[in-house]
Amino acid sequence: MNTHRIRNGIVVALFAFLALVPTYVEAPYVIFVLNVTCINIILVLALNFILGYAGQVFLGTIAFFAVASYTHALLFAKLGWGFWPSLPMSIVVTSVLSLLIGIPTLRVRGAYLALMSMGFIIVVGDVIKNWMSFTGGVWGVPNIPRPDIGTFTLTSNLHMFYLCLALALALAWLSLLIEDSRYGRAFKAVRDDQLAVEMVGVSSTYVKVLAFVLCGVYTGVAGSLFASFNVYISPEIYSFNYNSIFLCMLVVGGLSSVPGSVLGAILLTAAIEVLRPLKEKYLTPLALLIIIILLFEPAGLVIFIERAVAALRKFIPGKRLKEARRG
Amino acid sequence: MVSLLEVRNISKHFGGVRAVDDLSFSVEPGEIRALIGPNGSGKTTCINLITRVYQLTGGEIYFAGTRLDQLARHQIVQRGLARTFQNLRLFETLSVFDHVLMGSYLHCQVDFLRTVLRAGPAKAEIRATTDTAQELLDLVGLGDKGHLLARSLPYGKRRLMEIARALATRPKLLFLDEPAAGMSEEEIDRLIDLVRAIRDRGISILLVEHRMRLVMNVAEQIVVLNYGKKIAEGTAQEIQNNPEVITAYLGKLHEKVTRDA
Amino acid sequence: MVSGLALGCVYGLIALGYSFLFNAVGLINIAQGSFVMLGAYVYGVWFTNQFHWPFIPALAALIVIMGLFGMACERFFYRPFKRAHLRTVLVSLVALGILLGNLALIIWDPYPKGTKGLFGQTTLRVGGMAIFYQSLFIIASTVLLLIVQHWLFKKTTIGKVMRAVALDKDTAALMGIETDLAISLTFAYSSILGGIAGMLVAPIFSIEPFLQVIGFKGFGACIIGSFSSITGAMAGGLMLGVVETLGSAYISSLYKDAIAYAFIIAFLIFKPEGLFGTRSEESGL
Repeated sequence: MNTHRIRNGIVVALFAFLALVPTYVEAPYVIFVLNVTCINIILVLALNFILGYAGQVFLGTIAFFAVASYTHALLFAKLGWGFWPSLPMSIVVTSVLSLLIGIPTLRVRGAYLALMSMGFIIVVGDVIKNWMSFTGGVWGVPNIPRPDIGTFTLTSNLHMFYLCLALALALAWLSLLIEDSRYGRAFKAVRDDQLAVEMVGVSSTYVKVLAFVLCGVYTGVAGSLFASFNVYISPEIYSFNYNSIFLCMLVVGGLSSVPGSVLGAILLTAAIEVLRPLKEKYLTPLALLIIIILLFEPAGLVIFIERAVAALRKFIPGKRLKEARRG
Repeated sequence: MVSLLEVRNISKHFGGVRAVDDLSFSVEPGEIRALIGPNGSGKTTCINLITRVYQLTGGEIYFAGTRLDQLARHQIVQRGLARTFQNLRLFETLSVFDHVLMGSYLHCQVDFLRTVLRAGPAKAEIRATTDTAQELLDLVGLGDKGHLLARSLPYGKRRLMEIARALATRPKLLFLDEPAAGMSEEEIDRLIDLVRAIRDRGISILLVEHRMRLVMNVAEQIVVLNYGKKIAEGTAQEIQNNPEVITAYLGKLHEKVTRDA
Repeated sequence: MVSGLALGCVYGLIALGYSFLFNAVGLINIAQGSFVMLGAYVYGVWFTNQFHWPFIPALAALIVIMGLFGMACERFFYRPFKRAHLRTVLVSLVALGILLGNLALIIWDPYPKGTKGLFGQTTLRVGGMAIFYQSLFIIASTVLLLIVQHWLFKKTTIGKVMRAVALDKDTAALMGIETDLAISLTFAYSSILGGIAGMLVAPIFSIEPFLQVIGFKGFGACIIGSFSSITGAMAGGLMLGVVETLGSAYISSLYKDAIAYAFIIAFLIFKPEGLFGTRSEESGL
């Protein structure tokens, strides 16, 4: 279907853009930011499953991210596992956690979920901060090694970036596949009308939990990548502010859209860097941006790109769009 | 022969209001039964009780011999019960085709990874569900509308889409909750044919309806409710001549009805 | 124990803020905690530390400011989204919470502040126990507030109008009541409640944007008690306050938040409608 091709094309284009940046800009700062961008992409894709596709206002993904990072850090740095075994473990742990959190909290109504998810962040934060012997408390976990592929260790940020980019691309591709599958349909159906979903014989709880687990898997990957990339993690990283950033990226980029998630992550990571002089107040324009987008174009910024591409295609001779307009 | 659906002495009390009061009836395999009654008589509540949208205050419900009122909603559908909704329940962001595909979800067996990657057995399964969806859309008369967004359909056609979606679950018994609401006379003609075609596929039907022309033309047995209680049961002829029924409706049965031979 | 009750009173007040908005517009105000934080800042930092106003005028000013502020929030963060999905409103309120936190950072600097409060750390000695005057003050204030609130809603026209809209918005509209205004007032009232809660906690907790998270505890209080009734919300708050204080004393003071949240989550799983609520018919939808 044409809309799918446009969508996929935009995703490829965005990743191509990211991949090409290092050839034109060599500043180490930019490479650093590129790494963060890729990790953010994965985290926004994770949130997209729960908030975008399944429509559940769950805002606690940063807590999963913390658990994933710490799992990876502790296994890798303290216990001496390699990167490649640690990565699946952090995925597994995070997914199990998301499963356990998902099942009880999804039986309750939407707004309850929103607030409790934020409370969840506090609990996880508290546990990490206070369990000094295990997590190092507020001092964090230092000296997390970089991953190695065979005998080659990815000490350079540039090489790390290519790994992050590859994983982000793979997960974005997986998200597209899921969106086009019956699971993607089921997520959106649950978002639109839970009762109707039950009445076609599908357990809405199961679908919601699945969204949660997928979020957990993606966050697990991001957590491992981040821990190794940053070499050091500590509790302050996993704050409410960072959590709000993901929300902003998803809403501004395009809720329930893979290209939207990628776009939002790229744009807002860049925006945050630009806004650095504002120090802690950088969230103000971001929050305002959320409101503006919600008011004027709830489908997110990506819709402008999609419309532009769709319009341009009309001018290509020989291609006629007989697709009905999206509502 | 065991009834397909057996409703025994069910009641539903909302606070002091007895929406449904000690109601019993059954639906036999292969039949089309109608549930009629004036506004507020409890017809839709009854459907909601059977499909577990509401909890029973009293009574039991059996489907093909097994207890229904203790199952979860989606399990009821998995057993072979499907329904449409009086007020329509759409998936606003999905296309017409997706709606019907969603109805086939419960029959999909292939695991997550292979489904998503479209590998191996998933290909056949996806093709099968796609074919079924198209076939059902053709059946209800929406064959060329699959790609449209569901919410862009006019009211009458949305109901047809809901029917297709319900049929995709492969039910043994289908509840149609006021399917003719908002339909023109020609649309009702087509609906009559559709209901019969569904029955001819081996699906029993329980029809809740106001528009008497539809009821009289398809229903073999009719159950009449008033104030949550059953006041009459029988064929269309018997119902029409029942004084209690006439009183309940205060003359609403004087619509023109035609009965096929 | 007494401080547990005092804490509980505060949670209860916050819970009431949620409860009113929930009854009026069916909305769970995610930003309620931010209102509390702002109240603490406005009262604690401005009025007490900087302006040194005495109690009554400070309280009056607080009420006015919080009330106006609540109405402004309604105008910009609720009304534009009234017709949209609940989800959109929730996200909007999350954004509001973020903005308010940042607003606090901008107006006051990022360093946490403290304020003395009316009674400082003075305590009353009763039979071997030391009870903070501040705790008693909180409890007394809450009781007083509940009485005032009762009078307000049962006897005055404004109160009756707000109750009418809360009970049945559509009928109220049919009877010629300006529902928009009533909703605006309800927001104002919830904001005032939040502000007063902020005033009461200002001496106890450190005043910083992170104070917003107290909103979650208030929300939890509603879960434990009930969203729809005043007694329920207060009772939930009291229970939560007591459990948290006792838990921190007997189990571990480091994890007191975790204990409080565990308590809330237990209710969420086993009795989501709360002790005083009624199980809704179409549960889970």
